[in-house]
Amino acid sequence: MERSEITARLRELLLSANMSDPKLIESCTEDSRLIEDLGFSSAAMLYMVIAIEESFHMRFGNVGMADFKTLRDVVTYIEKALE
Amino acid sequence: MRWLATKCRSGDMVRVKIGMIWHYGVYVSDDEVIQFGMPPGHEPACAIDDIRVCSTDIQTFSCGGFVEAAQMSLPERINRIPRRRSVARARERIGEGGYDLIHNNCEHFAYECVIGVKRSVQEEQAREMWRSRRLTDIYVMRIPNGIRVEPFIKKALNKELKRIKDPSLRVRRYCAMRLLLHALDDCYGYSENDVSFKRRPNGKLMCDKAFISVAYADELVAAAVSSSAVGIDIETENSFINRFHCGAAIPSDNGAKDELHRSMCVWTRKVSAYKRSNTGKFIPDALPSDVRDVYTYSIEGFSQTIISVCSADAAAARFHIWDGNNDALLSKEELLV
Repeated sequence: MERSEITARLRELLLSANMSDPKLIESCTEDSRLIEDLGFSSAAMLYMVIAIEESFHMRFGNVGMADFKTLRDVVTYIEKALE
Repeated sequence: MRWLATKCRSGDMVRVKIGMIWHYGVYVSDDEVIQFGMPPGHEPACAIDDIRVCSTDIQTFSCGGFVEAAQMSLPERINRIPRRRSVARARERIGEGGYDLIHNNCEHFAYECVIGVKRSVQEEQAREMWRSRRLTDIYVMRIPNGIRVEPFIKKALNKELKRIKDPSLRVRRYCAMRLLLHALDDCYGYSENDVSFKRRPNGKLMCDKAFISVAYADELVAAAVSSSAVGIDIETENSFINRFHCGAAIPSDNGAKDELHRSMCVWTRKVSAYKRSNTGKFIPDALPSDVRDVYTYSIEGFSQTIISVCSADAAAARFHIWDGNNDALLSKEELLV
């Protein structure tokens, strides 16, 4: 899967998961910080990781809250996991 | 199991709310609470590999919040690991790493030490919340030339196909079922063995795991899966003209084409609304064309095709193009409303 496709799919997932203001999600970039810019709580981070597992049919391993500061961190992790 | 902010006993599973999630540990004494990693937001900035099972005092564990102790039912108390053994297990694991946010976290650790089972209720609840979220997904596929009808695992699906005598109709129905099974797997993670289909007296196909709707037009099949009642209809210019204009040519001038597309929109909106309602006879003139919760799209690359979907979540419906192997999720730019 191309990186741009992963990013688009992740954005759709975040919108359907309803974890943040939809306007923030739609205008976010890879540099957007999950907590500071998108307003994610710790529960939202947990939900996001599970939603990614379910949507991308993958399994996270050895990750913590501190591993995902920006959307870029998340996309890069998914990209590597899908390789 | 209930939770209560009460005096803790050695061997208790304890938790404290930090923000929106719970942090878990095993209580030994006020000077010793054994936990996997520090409470969220309180761990020092460190690599994931540095998160270890550690011991702190109750004040540090509580982070200023109320510490709750698990209150077990009689069967739970009988089946739990004895208190001294729970404490011993927790102490044996001090220094252990391998932390993972959803597969090996503080809650897994506490449950393993006290109950003997590795689980995280927070993770299970979040996963269940994800699986039961409101959504509508539309899948479209082009029926491949020369496709062979292969048997399904479920006898009911094969029986459904055998009812259809016309070979081309059977192929369409076969593709629709394959598309539906893919949709249910893609959206919900259900395999063919997990789902059952039934046919209602009015001919509508029902699924026990989600609301579904299917439509055909020429070589295209569309399937909708949703967490609420849904109806879908699809028309191409060719199929619409064949249905209503009996062999007339597809108009070439823009005015007539626009009129044709408007008619296709009205028709598909009515049909999708009817399919969603799943009641009564289909009387097109009696159905309003401005039905709520109906959204109409055409898709880039399928320019002569109109799809209408009617459901409570139709505004946020996601579109997928499936070719039997690859599923491509369309962006909003590729959908022409």
